[in-house]
Amino acid sequence: MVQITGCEPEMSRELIEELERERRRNFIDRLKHVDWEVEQILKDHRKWFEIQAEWSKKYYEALYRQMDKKITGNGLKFKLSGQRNTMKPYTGKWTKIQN
Amino acid sequence: MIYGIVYCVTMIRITNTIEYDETRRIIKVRKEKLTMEDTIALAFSRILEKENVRYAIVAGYVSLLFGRSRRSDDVDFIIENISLGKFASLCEKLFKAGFKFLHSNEKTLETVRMAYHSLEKGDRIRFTFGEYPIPNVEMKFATTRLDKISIEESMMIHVNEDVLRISPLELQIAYKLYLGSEKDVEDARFLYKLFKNILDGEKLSKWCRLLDVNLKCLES
Repeated sequence: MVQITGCEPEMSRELIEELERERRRNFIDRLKHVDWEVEQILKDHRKWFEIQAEWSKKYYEALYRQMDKKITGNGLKFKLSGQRNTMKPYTGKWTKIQN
Repeated sequence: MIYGIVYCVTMIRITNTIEYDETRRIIKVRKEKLTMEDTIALAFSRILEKENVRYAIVAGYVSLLFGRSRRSDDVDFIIENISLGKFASLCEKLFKAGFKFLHSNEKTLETVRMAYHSLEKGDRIRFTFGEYPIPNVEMKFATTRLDKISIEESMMIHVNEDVLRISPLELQIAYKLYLGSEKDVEDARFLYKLFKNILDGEKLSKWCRLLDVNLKCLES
């Protein structure tokens, strides 16, 4: 078990230093990933574009499915673009109308 | 006697789908499949081109267009300041092509006028394309000097048979470094590494000096 002991200002400084080191390392990793992307693109950009388009399609399909679920999940039938609310005004007989 | 101008076109191959026409400073991109962001950017710019509205695409989409593997919720367009009449005519064409205001479902003159006043104040307005709000187009008038330079010195990109105009790569790289978030620095590094051979070194250094940023993090 990790013990966080010692005087507080010292401890705080050490923890922040650890986090900063980790953040720095993560950022350098991400920059290396960018270099890798460029390397792949220079090798075969056509293939890269193809994969990118396929990935984009899947991403948006999943996102839209989720949006539809969230939007219709609370019983209201919304379409997110604009403020279109297609719910009929409540008349007190709504359940009957729906049936 | 017929006089003509003979252009000596120098094409530089960057990848197997990108070529650079050095003489006219045009990048030609061939994409067999388009992403959602491409589709919306091309549809929007097609109308701006037809309506003779000068514009430049800036920010995230510039690197996405060339293959950066991340998503963006919007494609940012800066357009020249146009009159209300021209803006109304532009909106009409956009509505016909399937665009809608994000924040209003109405397509009345009143809504168009309100959108125009927002633009005049320096605010941005958003257009959606199709049924869903993401990705969308974020549009603003050119307000700052950098906005105006982005339009005046925009680079033409041929994507298949279509045309897009983007802010100059040198300015984009320096600006992204200036913004300074991790995502922005990654985008800057992506553009720098991919287009290293065609960037104008002098211009890039000038923008870096003016925006007080350092190119070091792109080269290491």
